[in-house]
Amino acid sequence: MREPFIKFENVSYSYEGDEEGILLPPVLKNVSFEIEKGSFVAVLGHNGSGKSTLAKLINMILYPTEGRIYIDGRDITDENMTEDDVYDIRRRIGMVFQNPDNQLVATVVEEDVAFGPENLGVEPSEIRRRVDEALETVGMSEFKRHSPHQLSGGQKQRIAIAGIIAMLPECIVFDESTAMLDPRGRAEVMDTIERLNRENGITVLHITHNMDEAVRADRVIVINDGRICIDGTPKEVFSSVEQLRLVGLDVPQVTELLYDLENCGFDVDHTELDEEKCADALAKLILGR
Amino acid sequence: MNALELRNIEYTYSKNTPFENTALKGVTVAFEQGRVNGLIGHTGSGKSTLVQMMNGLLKPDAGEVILAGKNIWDEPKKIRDARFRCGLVFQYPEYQLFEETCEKDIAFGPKNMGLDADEINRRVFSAADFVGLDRDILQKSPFELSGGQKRRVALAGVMAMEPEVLVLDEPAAGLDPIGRTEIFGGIRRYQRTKGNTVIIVSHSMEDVAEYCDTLTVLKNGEVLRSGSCAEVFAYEKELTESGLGVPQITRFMRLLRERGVKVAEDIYTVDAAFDELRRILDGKRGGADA
Repeated sequence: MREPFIKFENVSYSYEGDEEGILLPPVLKNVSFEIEKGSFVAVLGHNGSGKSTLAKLINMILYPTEGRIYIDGRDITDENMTEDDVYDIRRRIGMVFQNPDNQLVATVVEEDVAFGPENLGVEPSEIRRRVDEALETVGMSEFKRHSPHQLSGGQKQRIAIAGIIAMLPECIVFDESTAMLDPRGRAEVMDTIERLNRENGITVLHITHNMDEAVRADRVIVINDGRICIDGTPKEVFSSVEQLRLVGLDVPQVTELLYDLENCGFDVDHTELDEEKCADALAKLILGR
Repeated sequence: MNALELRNIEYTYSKNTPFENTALKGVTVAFEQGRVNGLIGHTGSGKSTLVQMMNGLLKPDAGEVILAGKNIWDEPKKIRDARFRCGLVFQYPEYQLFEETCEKDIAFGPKNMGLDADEINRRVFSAADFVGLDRDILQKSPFELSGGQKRRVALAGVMAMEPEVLVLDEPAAGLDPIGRTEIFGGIRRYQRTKGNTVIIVSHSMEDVAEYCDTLTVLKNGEVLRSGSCAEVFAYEKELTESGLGVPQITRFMRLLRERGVKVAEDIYTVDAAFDELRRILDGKRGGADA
């Protein structure tokens, strides 16, 4: 196994209640896992399961109540972390949030993308290069002089992603970044995420409620009630239909269909996630050739 | 009978400025009384603008908004009536909760309508029942609740006005599968009990397929198509080109047809697909035995 980029060791997190110093019941309970460099991991879980808390711990928006977190071998829960160290972690691990309208700061697309590297004190010529390259990567070069608020939701999210890429991160956490988009916007963002992972080697953590999106990851982690309850390849995870339903999640529609047919005694395989292959197998069963 | 009808609606934002932007270009659409109607369209297709026309939040540049047979702009001073009779639930309505208790928050609308205390109480409890909120939750502050519960409180607040037409903009956005089922279950209970008309704006083809009787598709400020789910989802290519799509299961049925399996063309829910394939496979099993 390659060096883990993210490593959680017995991490718990409790939010503070209304009264200072009084902690609410933990939202993450003694969680341990490792995420390999360059992997594409989907995180599933119902509302309130602790998914977003997990994301915020990774780039130090939150600090764990208990346990240790290592990023690329460095203990970020170490009390000797300086402010500069924290900024460095946040540069290396970018975050893209749910609402595209809340993440854009400038009135021109290329200025928005330049915002991150400018704050890092990058040379102007280097900023120019990074902005052009980032917009190219998300397929938005032709819009560089446009105003962000005239773009569609999917385009805005891609600009937000470009702004992160321009800081040259090694990992990007997408916290339900496709939730507010129309089907085309979702497809655009998912294709961009996949490309960043496969072609640029960026480690991706994709938090989502959409099972079809999770199917595209290398690994799926399911969180329930503050603990990791299922962890495996999409094929392994989505074959546990009953277990997923128990924690309030769904499976893709085709998986549900094949699972129900299988339960009626028909010879189909609900663990196959590729739609084309499922159609091939079902057609063969029905037509007998 | 149409509960709500929009005729030749035109609307342009920031007219006569460099930012002029035409959102609706002669939209005509009718929503039949007592049905659940879906409104779908890509970002910027004009859905939200159209929704704000329905209860007079925006006034069309041209065209008519007919609520129960009467143009709501005939008497502009009475436009407030339209706001009670056509209830709008915006996206992420839980951010609009403000009262000390859930009960007071739900009662805010009916109170503004000038109803008496008994009637307000009846409506608050009945709305809470529709969305499945327990009585003990009603006395809590909305800010103590989970996201899904808050969303249901906000929805109950509009239902308590018992609008003839209930319009919901992305009611299940950001919710997990159980939260979605609860919200849509509540909408369905309201619709079935009251027999009122519901309009749901959504980006999820799976959800509209499951819960809506009719669909209207908007594209660049115009009506691209409207009809039953079966009629609309028959145009997969056109929908995909318009930034939308069809439910995964409908696409899968097409893949089967392309492979020579004779499945019906009007399938857009998993249950319908299951019944259809079961029928075919059982027939085959029966045939083999004979």
